[in-house]
Amino acid sequence: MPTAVEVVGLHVAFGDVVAVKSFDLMVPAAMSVALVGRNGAGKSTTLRVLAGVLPPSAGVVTVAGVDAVAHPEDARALVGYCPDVGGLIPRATPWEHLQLAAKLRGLGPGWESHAKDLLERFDLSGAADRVTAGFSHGMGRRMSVVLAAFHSPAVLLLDEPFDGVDPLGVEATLEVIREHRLRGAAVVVSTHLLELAVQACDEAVVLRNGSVVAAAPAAELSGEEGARRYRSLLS
Amino acid sequence: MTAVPRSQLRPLLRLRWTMVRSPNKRAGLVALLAGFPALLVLGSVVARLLPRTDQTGILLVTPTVMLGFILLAFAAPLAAGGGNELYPAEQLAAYPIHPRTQFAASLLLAPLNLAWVIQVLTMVAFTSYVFIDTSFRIIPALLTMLGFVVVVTFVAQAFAWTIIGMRQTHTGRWLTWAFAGLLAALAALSVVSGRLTELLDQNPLRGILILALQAAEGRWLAWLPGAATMVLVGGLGFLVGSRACAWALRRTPDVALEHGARPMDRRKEAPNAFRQLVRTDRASVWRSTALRRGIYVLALLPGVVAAAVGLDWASLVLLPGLVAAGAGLLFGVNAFCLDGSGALWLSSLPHTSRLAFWAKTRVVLEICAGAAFIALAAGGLRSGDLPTSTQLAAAFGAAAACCLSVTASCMGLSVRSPHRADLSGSRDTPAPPATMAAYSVRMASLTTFTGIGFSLAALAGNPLVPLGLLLALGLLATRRLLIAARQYSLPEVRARVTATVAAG
Repeated sequence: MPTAVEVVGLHVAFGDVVAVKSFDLMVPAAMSVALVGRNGAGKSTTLRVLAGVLPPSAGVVTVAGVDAVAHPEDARALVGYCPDVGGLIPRATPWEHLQLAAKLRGLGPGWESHAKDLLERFDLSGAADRVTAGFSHGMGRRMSVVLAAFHSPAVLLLDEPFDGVDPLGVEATLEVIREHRLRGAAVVVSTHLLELAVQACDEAVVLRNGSVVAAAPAAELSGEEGARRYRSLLS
Repeated sequence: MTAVPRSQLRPLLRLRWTMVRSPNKRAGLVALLAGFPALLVLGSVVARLLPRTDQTGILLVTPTVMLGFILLAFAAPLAAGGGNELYPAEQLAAYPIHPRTQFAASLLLAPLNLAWVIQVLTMVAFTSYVFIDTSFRIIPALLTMLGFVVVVTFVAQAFAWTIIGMRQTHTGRWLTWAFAGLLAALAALSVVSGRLTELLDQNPLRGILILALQAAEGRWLAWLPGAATMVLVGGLGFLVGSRACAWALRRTPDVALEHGARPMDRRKEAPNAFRQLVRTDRASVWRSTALRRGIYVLALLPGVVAAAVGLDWASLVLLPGLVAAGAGLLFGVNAFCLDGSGALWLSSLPHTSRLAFWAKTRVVLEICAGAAFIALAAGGLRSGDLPTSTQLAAAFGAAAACCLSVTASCMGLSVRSPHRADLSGSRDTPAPPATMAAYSVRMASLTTFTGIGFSLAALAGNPLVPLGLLLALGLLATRRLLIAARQYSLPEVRARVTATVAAG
């Protein structure tokens, strides 16, 4: 399988605070990887760099063969990103978000039917023309996943997609991850919910203080034994 | 149950002060706070040094200035949805903040309003000039006048909170619109019937001036009942205001629920990405209660007042600039906050930083220009004779140059000093209160000097002079916009702006 995401020696610092250091990651196409770890471990920062939202202080970041540091705009065209906080323009409706994304991504007229289908699957059809400021946290998360996935990106980046989401929304998200993987996309999921990470992903990467402390098949972190092992890696 | 601490205001103020990290900003704030009393003293001293040529004229006009202050004191907290906030409401949602604390905070922050400061300064200067003779004791007279300022501020805030409480429901909004319509009709009637000047001359605020005179002459027995009445009214204003604030904050705003639940009309895609971005930004402006109300007030009120007073074309030159400055302060000084937490998602879409920058610039410019030109047109309706071509060029040039300069300043500030601001609540502002006060001084200075420049250009008697000035200032503003756009196109700058406005 070709490599869809390649990160070598990533370093991100905000002044004196180092958020990510010496971080390496390889995600082949058609594979899903979970980034897990405590708050402040550097998961969201890493995803922001992959999404082209945050320039790294140092390191090489390649997304679907495109250098995301040198050509962030080209990289963004290949990525779908669900941010960890909000991720929605407060006074725009879901449909307006989709229109804006379609226009900026240069999608053809066929995008509407796919978008409608996704809204239906995430139970958001009835709210498609309401401003997102009135959404519950879970609705906002579901909508962010729709926005990340609706253009069928080569790399799907989901930051806390399950946070506060009801079981049906979780199922829909898991289904989207599965579909993307099956059609050859790489998926990177950051989450605190270990069991869902195990369910959604092939591999798990554990971060601590901005560095990778372990990487293993996600199944190895399942069950009580897996949880015990995970906890031991956190401290 | 936890008892409400007696003084919640002090720790809230302390935290707000701690949150100002930059030493330069702290020094600026101290200068701003110390500057107001210093300006009052300066205004009084300068007024007393002026030649005693027009004491009677100033004496006659002072009650009208006081009436103007009352109008402002009532309008400002109404336009701000209850006055300035120390913190956005959602940041304090988890704390048992007493409404009395919120009311006290809005009183404390009332002077963070350039128009309020200028009006108080004018009243102090006029009082000092009226009582210029050495036989008068100026300090008691000034303290009486400042007492009037405090009482009016208390009562106005109480009134504003009552109206805001009423406006939480559909019926309440109809009632307040009917009340506002009645006031507007009465004002229009007095203007049309030509009785405005007569009514202004008869305004009862002469009583406050008489009270100040009693203090200046040391007639304390005569002064005491009036002063006691002021204290009583002020105290009542505080008590009623605290309760009105509690009542207003307790009521569920059906308008917010309506807006959140009401489906918007679905429109076709815009023909290109830029227009789609502009459309999104426009929606973010017009769907915000605070911004929509602010735009209406700015576009209509100054123009209507100018029309009522019948300002001539020479004076109208200053009007559009001040309106443009106000429009810029609504959201333009922090334009990227319109995206809220969606800024992170938006940044991940494939488009250039410049496209996003110019879309915001266009929306800021069109709001400034819309408000400024409506105010100018309304003000021009009753300005007497038709303007000369030079006057027209000066007024148009001042409006256009101020809009461009304000937009350039706004976009520069938006890139350099972003803030997290939701702008969904009726009291939300694009930056913290003290920062907004500093911004308003900056914008007002910029537009006032620009307006004065065009007033001087109009004296040349040749329309090409103001148009030439417009060209020069327009080029300067364009250069500043290009610099801001270049800064924003740096990945680390855009990332900082995005992370700040999207912070949850």
